[in-house]
Amino acid sequence: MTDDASFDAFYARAYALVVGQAYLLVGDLGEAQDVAQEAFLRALARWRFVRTLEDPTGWTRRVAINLAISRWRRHRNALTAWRRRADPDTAAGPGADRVDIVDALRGLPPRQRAVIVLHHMNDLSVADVARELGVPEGTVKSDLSRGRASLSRALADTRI
Amino acid sequence: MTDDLGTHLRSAAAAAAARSVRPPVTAIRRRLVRRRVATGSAVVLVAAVVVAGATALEPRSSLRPTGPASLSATATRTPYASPSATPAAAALPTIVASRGDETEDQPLVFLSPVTGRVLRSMHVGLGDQPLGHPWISYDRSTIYFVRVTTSCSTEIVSVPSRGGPDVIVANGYAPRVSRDGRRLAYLEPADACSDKSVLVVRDLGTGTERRWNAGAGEDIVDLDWAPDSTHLAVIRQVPRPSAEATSGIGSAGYFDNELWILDTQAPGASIDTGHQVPGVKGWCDAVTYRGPEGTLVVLALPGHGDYPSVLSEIDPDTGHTKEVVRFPHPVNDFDYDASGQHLIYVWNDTLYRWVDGRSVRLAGGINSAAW
Repeated sequence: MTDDASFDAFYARAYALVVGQAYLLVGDLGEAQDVAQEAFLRALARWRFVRTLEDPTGWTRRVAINLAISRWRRHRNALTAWRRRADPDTAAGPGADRVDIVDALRGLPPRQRAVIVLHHMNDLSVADVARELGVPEGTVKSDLSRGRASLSRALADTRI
Repeated sequence: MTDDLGTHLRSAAAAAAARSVRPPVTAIRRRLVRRRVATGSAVVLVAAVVVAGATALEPRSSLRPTGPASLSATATRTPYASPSATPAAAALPTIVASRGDETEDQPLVFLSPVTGRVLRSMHVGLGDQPLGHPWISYDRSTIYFVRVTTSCSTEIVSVPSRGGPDVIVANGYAPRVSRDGRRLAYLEPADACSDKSVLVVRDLGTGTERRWNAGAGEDIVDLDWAPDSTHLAVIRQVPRPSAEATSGIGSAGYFDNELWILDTQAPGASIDTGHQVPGVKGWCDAVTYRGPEGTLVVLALPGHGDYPSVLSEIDPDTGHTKEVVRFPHPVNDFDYDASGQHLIYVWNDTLYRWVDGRSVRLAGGINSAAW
């Protein structure tokens, strides 16, 4: 398969994973799409390298994570996108349970949100999350605990 | 408990993904090419005085001390005024810029450095091919620019600044002609649809070429000729494990950016044969030799994707860095005038001039500019 064709196939296969994760991290579908496209652009820029990796999707997801974190740093004083109550797209919205979890995530501070998503959705270990975010492992554990508690309260759902 | 949370999160992510229309892959490819065109630093240092409104570019020779400075001069800089000093409007050269919007002709435009008004247009595009990287030869007689040819390739084109037929010079991007006008340096993609680049230096008199690969690095990002027209400053990216990288995520994942000085007269075919300026330079993606003395300046993000962009002087011997401009936002492209006193830059398809420590918007629809 040529580099061109292999990237096209990879893009088609991985886009949903990357944009979905980005959505949980940035809280706005439009921003999530921007983050995802930027991540894929960077994958394309180094596709000859990325395609040799064991997990190109994982690499691209990591890029998206860092882009999302960078955006938080750029907009330290603004959780506006995250706290928007409606997405700009006109497609059918998610079900009530999904709105609940997204709204609950919106209520978390950015770092807690990142810790929750990285650990529970991406299955990163506490050590890996700490390395990704540049914080001590104890901070990650604390954020996990507090984040889960906050989500439980927000969702009033004892399953979490 | 945690399994349920993971399930909830994955379900919400999947729902969001289902509502997101995946752009065609050609859109990603096109963005990459456009960025490659737009984000290189236009680093020509020109010294002409062109009165605003003039339609021709005057040679710089009558305005600047002649004779190339030595490379060592970069380490012992002559003090100069802050770039924020208010310029004398009449002494500023006309700006050459490429339009960032996808207009039918994609012209190069000549702009007033004071008002941003278009003084002249030059129609050099073919259809809707994006243009970028305008660069002016030291005598201001020739403009070089980059034209996108396919979704994965670009060509360097030259055109007389007074107008005339354009000539395809090479396949590549980031053209830089030495101050003595004898050599063209540029970046040539190592393969189609890859932005891993090879540095090429062409003798414009004989047509002979030399090539340097990135060596231990993954890619070459930007370059500029030293005042001596022999040495090149080169930025290259070096891949690192995420835990070790200090520059954060670059265009290819975790990278550190290094600044190297390459003697183009010395043997070798790798950037490794040059001299590395000590230290890692953050997420820097543009370098220039500023003013007649050739002060080495890089454009960088402070690290780990933090914004805004900053311009810093760097001592090539010690690596000592001194921040000289902190922009209010990221910057794609910048250029000093020949004196090194006045600065223009581009961000988000908008051209700005840096005046008295603040940004002054000059024109929209610009993706790259040179002074």
